[in-house]
Amino acid sequence: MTERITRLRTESLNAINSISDERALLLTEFYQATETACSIPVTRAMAFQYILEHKSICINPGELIVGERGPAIKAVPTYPEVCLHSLEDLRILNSREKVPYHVPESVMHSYELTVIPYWKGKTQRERIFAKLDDSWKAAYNAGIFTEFQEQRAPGHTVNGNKIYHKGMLDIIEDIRAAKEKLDYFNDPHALAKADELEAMEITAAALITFGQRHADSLEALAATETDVIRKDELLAMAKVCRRVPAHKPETFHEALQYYWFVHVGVVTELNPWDSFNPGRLDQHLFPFYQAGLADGSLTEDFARELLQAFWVKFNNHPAPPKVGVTARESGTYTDFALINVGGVKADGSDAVNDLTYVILDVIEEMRLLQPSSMVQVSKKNPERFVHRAARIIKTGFGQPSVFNTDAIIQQLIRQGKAVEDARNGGASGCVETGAFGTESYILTGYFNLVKIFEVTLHNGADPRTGKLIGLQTGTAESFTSFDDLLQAYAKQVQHFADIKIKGNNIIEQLYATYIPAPFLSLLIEDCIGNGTDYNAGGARYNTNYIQGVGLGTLTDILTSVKYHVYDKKSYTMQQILAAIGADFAGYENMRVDFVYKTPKYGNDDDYADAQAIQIFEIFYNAVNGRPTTKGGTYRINLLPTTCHVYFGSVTLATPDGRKAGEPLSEGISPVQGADTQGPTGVVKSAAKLDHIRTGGTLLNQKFTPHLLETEAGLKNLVHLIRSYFRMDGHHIQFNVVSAATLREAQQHPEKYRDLIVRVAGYSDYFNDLSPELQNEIIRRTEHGDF
Amino acid sequence: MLALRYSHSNIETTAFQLAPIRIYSLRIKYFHSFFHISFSFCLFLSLRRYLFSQLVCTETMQKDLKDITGVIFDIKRYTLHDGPGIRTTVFMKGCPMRCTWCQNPESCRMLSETVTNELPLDGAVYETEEVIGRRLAAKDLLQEILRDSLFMEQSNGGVTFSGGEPLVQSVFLTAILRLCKMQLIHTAIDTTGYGPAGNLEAVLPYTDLFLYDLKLIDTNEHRQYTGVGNESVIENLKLIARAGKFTYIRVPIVPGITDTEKNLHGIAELLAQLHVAARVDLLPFHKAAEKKYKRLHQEFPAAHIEPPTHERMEEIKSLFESYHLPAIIGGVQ
Ligand code: SF4
Repeated sequence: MTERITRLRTESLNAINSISDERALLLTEFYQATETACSIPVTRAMAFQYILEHKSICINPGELIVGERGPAIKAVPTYPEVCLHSLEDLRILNSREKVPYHVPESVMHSYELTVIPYWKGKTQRERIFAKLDDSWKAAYNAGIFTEFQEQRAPGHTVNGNKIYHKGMLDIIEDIRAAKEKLDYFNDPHALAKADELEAMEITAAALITFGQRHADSLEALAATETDVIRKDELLAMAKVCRRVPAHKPETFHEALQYYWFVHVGVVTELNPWDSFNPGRLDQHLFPFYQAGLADGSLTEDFARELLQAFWVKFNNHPAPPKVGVTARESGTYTDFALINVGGVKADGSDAVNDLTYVILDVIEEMRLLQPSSMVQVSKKNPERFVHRAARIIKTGFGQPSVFNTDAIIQQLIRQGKAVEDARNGGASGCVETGAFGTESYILTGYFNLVKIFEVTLHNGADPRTGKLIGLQTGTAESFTSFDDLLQAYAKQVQHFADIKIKGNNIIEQLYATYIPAPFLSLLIEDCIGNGTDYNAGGARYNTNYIQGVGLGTLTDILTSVKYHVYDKKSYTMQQILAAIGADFAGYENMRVDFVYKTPKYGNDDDYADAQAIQIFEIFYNAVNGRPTTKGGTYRINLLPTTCHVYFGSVTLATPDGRKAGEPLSEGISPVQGADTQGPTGVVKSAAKLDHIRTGGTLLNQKFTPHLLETEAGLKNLVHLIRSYFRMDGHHIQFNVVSAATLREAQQHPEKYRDLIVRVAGYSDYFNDLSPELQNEIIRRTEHGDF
Repeated sequence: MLALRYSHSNIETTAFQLAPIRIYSLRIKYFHSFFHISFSFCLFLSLRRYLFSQLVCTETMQKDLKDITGVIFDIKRYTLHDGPGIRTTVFMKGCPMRCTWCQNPESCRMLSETVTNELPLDGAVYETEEVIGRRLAAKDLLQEILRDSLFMEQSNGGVTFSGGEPLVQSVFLTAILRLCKMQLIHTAIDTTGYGPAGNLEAVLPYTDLFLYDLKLIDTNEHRQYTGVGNESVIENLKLIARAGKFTYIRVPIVPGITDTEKNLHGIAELLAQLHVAARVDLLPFHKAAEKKYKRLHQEFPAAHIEPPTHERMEEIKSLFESYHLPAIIGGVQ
């Protein structure tokens, strides 16, 4: 790592996450000053333009890639048109123990005097809550599901390769061509499309201006720079910014800088969930890398340094702050940009190239939370590649996570994508499958599979409040067979899926109408050709997901009930309900039986795993294939971010021996500590689910460091991954830290400020995790010593 | 010799299981007397092995193999220290030795035994009885092993039979090894080599890798620390050497007992002579088993011994290397 990168990295790590009011004020200023008769898309595009023309240009000393979303490193803008923070929210953000954001006094002032008075009553969040019905609210408040879009815009998409062969000027040409083609005779939406296209054009031009403003600043800095080397650098950077984003990039540096402008554009336009993501970086950049090396304009070292500088930019951008339930379901600074390397090319051939290995070096050396990174492993990829990734995994910061390209392609093709689009896809966020550059795949919220079972056991009521929120499918004692019980559960799942999907459809339409994203629409095919906004179904493919949480816990619950009540008849349903109600106080021996003497998911035990399959089918049948309002389809995936902790906190004790409030299992991982057969048992259980019918599953595998100490251990890790993928497993990630280290870190957080652990689908600083999550990870890790 | 072999090996075999084996033992006897005058011993061995496999591999025999039962006390998956690739290690119960430093005290006796386990939950500890050792048929054991066959295939791994001393149950061991070979699974046995040559000969054709313990070269010391002399251990090692089987030699390094210069040089000299070791694994003594002894209400006889230092292990490694023997500390590369 060069001295420059070391400094940039340290500055990024040390910067305080803070709230900036710059965007909120510019936006407010724009709307206060502009009384336009323009359509909503055009007005929003003009607002975007206003922000990019007026926001401060931030160029940090020594930087190679420029552009910040806020006025400084880690200064996070707000998006009052989506979610308006109250003064109370800001105070909480400033003072909360975990994941705080510093809120300067000046921000409190401008919020009080300007932002809140203007936006109150006009926000998307208020529109949403005004339209959602009581059954939705009751389920939401009970913790049956969460809602991603109540504080953040839909996003969940990944850049394809468009920008690497089209400058914004070329894109403007495309927009104009699309306008020309509008058919005012036969297309009743032609006018709306014209408005949308006009909006797109404004945003494309705005990004060019933004690039030019950077070039101006760089030239101004160069004029006063006394260090001749830096002066040359600044001038070279200015040249880059004069070229991109207006024109298509010609060099490696230009390609990176172009992406970064686009990234800043997307996250300035809105606060889309999962920021934005360069996706298949080794594929996109390789032609520039190769050409640069060939004509001598680039060296491997400089490419590496540029990539490292690029990495720092992601780390400068913590996620926009979340509050309330949404903060609990995703309590992290990470904003889920997930760099993909490896996999296959559009023609299906092995995509690993020299740059793949350079990027892997960068991942290892930078050791940053953001961007997160993953390797796509196809059966066509060489062993050396997977082995290289395993070596980084061994260092224990949870990256890269490992994905099965061949499974991802099957998933996408099953959903109806063209094979090339499928091969150009990958995973983003935590583990979500998507066709990069062509698909809008919206995660709509987590779905508490365990809580719904609790409601089933209580005849439709939430036992925590006594409120009837579900269907009255019968009392627990009335089910004479396990199948009866499952059928009742399936009805409840269907019921809540209906409520959730109805809510989603309302929210989706509110975004389509009030919060279009013309800038993002420039990037995703075929929004321009369709003349339709990304948020209104303009993308080539549109998919909505509902993410099931608690599969492992629920499997163990159902197995326990089947085993003890229906098969062995060791306990009656009444006894179990009594024990749950008492949180096992006075029922300790029963709890020992549940924890230690009952088959568990994660051990390749068909008795238990059969329930996992049934839960999967019930959830799948309730959601998969239903239409979205954008002309797309609903699908399921199984991942939690940190929601398993929140969902656990609203769920009473459960018949697998879990006590009230404890976290649920995450993704498709077994309950923490329940897997006693080692990693092959875990992956075999997990592979019994049909991953191909999902859009992503998350499997967290603990590994104590001693399993990876030797070459042979490392090789076996690769074999384990390959075996799981032969069984169509979607994703696996490894936490390689000893429990002793974690416990030490909990005692002395100050000594472990840089300790990064795998949480669920992403890595995070151990110190930033809630104590519950810390304990859960310790439990999970501790148990790894088999 | 053969009679002796069966009376020794069939501690666990019932009369019902003996039937098919008698048939083939008679046939072998027949070939034995017919050939051994005119052919060299080596040829005899290989022929006998060939005939053995031919004779026994009939459909009816397979069925009987599957029903042979044995006693195991654990099956561990994803083991790293028992041979190449991803392996499943089957721990068989019963051992003729009583090594002072034994790490598997629960393996010693053939019979099942009941121990008290502690189950911690929320700070409280609940006690439960656990029976160590279960008898199962070879076909059921095979099913357990096959659970990870995909991983074995992917990694060139396989199954390792350990113990205790797996050769104690040689009929059962032979049966399960043969069933594994029919499934193309790589097989290893982790053995002390102690016992009649016949026990070893029976498994030779079906074993791809031997993990072979050499503890003490002096038979009196061997007797002192393990309870038995080492004559058969050394003779059987020669047998393996002649058969040219892939072998890792495992030397437990127990300070004050096996780590004397005399012993280590003695072992190295023998190995250098025999050309048998693909690799020498030097296994440092450790005390992880203390808890196991407690559960069994036994004293850990090596409680007073301290593990060897890293420097000492390196010295010993060099000692073996000076005999041109590739040595590995800990036994995994
Ligand atoms: S040979 Fe092995 S199992 Fe048997 S007593 Fe010695 S160390 Fe224990």
